[in-house]
Amino acid sequence: MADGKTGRGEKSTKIFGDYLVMLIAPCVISVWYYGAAALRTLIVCLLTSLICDFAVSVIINKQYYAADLSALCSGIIIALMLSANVPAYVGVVACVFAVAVAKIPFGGGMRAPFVPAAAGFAFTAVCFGKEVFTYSSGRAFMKTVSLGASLMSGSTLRINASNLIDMLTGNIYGPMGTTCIIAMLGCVVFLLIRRRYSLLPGAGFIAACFIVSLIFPRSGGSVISCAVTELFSGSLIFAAVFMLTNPATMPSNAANKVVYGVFTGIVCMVMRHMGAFEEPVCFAVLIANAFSPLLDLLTDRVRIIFSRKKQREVTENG
Amino acid sequence: MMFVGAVKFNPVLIQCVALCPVVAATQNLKDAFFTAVAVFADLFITAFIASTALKKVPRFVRVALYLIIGLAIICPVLWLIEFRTLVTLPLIMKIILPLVAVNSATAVHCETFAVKNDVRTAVNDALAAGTGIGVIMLICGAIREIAGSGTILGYSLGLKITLPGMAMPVGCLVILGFGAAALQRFFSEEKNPAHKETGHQPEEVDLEMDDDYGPELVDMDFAYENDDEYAYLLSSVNELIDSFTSGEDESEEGEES
Repeated sequence: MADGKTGRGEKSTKIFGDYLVMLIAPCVISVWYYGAAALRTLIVCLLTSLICDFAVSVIINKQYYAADLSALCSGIIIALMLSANVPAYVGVVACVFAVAVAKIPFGGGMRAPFVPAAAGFAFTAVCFGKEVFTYSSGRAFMKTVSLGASLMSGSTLRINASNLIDMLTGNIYGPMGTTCIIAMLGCVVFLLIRRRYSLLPGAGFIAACFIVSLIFPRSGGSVISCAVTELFSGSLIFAAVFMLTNPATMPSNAANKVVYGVFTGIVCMVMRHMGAFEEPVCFAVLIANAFSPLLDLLTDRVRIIFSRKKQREVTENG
Repeated sequence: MMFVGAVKFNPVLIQCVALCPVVAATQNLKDAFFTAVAVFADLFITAFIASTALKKVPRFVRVALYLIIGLAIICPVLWLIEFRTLVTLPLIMKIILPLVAVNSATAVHCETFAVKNDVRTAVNDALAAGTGIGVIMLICGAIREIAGSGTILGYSLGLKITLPGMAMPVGCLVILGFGAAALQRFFSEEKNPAHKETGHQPEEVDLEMDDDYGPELVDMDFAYENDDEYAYLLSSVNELIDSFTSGEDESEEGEES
């Protein structure tokens, strides 16, 4: 029962297998834009996650699930959120934290209360902020500053046909695998076919971010262009597709999923406005993860209260 | 009793008390040492006074007295250190050390143990608990200082990579989490050697989920049965709650009469 063919292993393989399929596109695009540097970061993160997963399982005498692909997914997600030329130890620390602290102690990828990749990236951002948020220019058109940094500095951004295409294709200065919006839309279509309900938190998240950035724009110029830039900057859409859809941390009820996404979006935008980091989406995801079980609990309580009221009404009328 | 109180029922790792001073004041070994000494002295003296003089005092007065005794111990010592010695305490310690007087370890140990036992037993318990808390503080302080800033007692270790995140509260919570897991694992293996050989594999239970991911499986590792540690912990906490609630009842009854 404990192998990858049955029970938990099968479920984990199925879900994280889907993620791996979706992650192929951003991986290919990051290698296309940043070449060997991106490949090196991907391999370092991938190997660290796998070795750490195996080593910690052996150390704590837990059976190692060879087909549990969650560690693999966490490694790739972390790599794609980093800069292509980030020092190798940054990726190693992020992956070790994600697997050894945020995943295995809680019983694996299907039970972790916090998204392991978000925890790993957040820890690395705290420890090596300069390295994490100093991006490689690659073939990007904006070779000096990322969209997130320019929004943070409040500089005016005007979207035209040329830079909109660059933004959609990910040809901008930023994390190596999260900026290609077209690839993210492809992943959304894949999720729509495979697991449509898991898109609800992401939809709520993006809607909340968009509305908040319309109400409180961070840069000059048109409000719409500021809101669109806000969505395309950093790892916002990437997080909506790969972190908020994590089955272990999502609330079970559809309405709660949307609330969870909206809450994450609001927290993320508050942190973007007031926080110290250029890309605080991982911190927002972690905060929302902590409240996710409470949402289900609250819904259950409300359901119980309503059912009792109904019962009372029935007995009073009857 | 010393081993049981300090290790097996470690106040920080098993009973989860005094977490605030441990997390807030162990950023480096020096701060951890001062806080450990303050907690130890506070716990020891308060437990001694509680077991000798406070047994007949009403409960709601006793709890306030623990705070006053703690402040009476810590504040003069801080004043002496500040104005009569050459030791300069960092600002954070001047804030944290007086707060040690209100740490939950003192209230729990005095209220559940010291006031119900003779002086010798109460003092032994306080010694064990104080040692347990102190050792954990020193371990956390050393690890956080080495990992967070690459130094130990201010001396550089020449580490090329440091993790400043470990000097933050999250670093301490990670250390405490792993420490608690290691301690429980150690005593679990000691009690049931079969776990050592086979590992503690989860029992799988099918649950219904209303989303599109199918049934979820639940780890039953944490279904503790006949576990002394948890029985002790639960009884301590229940006693404390009972003591407060019964105190309230008594006062309400008094008011009514």
